[in-house]
Amino acid sequence: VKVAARRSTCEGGAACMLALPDRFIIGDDGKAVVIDDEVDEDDYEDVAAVIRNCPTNSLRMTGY
Amino acid sequence: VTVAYPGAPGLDLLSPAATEDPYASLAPVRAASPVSYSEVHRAWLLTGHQVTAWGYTARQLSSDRIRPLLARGEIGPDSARIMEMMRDWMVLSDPPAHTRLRRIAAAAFKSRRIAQLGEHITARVDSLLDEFIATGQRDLIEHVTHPLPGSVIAELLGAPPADSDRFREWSDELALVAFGTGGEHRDDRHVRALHGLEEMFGYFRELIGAARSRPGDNMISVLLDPQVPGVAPLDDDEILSMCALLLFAGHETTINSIANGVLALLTHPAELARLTADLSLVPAAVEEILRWDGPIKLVVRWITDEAEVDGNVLRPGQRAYLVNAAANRDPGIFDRAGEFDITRSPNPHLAFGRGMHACIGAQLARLEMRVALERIVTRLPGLRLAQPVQWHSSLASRALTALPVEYDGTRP
Repeated sequence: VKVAARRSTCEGGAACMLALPDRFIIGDDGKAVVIDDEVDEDDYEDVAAVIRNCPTNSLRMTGY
Repeated sequence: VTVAYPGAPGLDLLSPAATEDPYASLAPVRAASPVSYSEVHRAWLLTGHQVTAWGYTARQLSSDRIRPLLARGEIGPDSARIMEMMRDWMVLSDPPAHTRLRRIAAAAFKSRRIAQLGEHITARVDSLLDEFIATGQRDLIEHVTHPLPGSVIAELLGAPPADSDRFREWSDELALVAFGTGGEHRDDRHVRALHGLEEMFGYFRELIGAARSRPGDNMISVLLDPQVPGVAPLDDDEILSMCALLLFAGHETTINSIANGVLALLTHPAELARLTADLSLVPAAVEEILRWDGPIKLVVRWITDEAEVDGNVLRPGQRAYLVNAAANRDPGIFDRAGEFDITRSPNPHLAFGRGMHACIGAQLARLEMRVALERIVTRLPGLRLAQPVQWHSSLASRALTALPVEYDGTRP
């Protein structure tokens, strides 16, 4: 399973980065960049929580 | 040409009244306009929640306060070395330099690494409290909150625990040099602080050397070999600089977050009672503490490109203060904004910032706050203030001078 950011709607609020700074940064254009997109069983819940908390609903998991 | 700005006339954020209660001082400024120009501070004040959040993400606002100073040659030879180091701090950098540093730092802030620190933090807080109780001390800052973050950062960097007190000294010295805290004895202390920092550089170089010859499970080892594809690794000076940044950014803010949190609970006894009765409320209480009386009152940005916000034109070369202390009490965003409610939800406070510079240590800070608050309220039953408190006069930091407490069974 992988997590991805939709850059067309991301506003760079950084809720994702504050929660999981090892996965998400805000890049040069002020939008989220996923720097570690592999989601395994151990961190599935953490990533799911970040997806729920994204204020612009710009994150999703794919590859089920 | 005379330009009329919507003013925040007269508000001096360093006045005794604003030092004591910045929230009361800022409320009328925010109510008059979420964006205003302060003649006193010669800076735009962003006080509404929405505009402050905008300020954190706006590309026209730069965090780089060092390069312009270095370029203008306004820094004496004594401080030049420190400034050269701060130039490499990601908090003070713009892209693309920032992005590279941040990617590498991300490797060092692995969530699992941070979570594993929980046990270390609990043990450390308990041993500080053991000594606090056994020796009948009163000041929670001096004896509990001040020693804590240095020892956590020492652990993260892989330094021997015995050296953790040196970390706290260096951190205080760094604050003095970087932001000119320290008041009247500043010049003398400034020179001593610079000597202390030279010692810190030497110490970090040894840690880097040790990690290079024997990599371990610590941040310096990760920084030496971050394995981030497509990103040039850090050189030793950059690693040194990042270590100093971790120490500086994680020290005073953490001390004050915990101390301000204890104070908020002691001045709201009903909330303290609620928390003590149900420790599952601690995480939400931490968020409310960060909103209510967070460690950073405001953050400074430079305007590099013209920006329009709320009908005001911010011009290149001007400064903007992103005033968390006002935004986090904005009644347009927070219901009952003037009430301290440890179960508040949602709580979109700005204590960790937003955008690319949002706090990379937020997880660690939350962990330290949760553990410290839980252990303090559990181990010091009947906790109460022993004397009225005072605040340091500071533009950016919300810092108590001391936190004198009593509790049931305090040794005389």
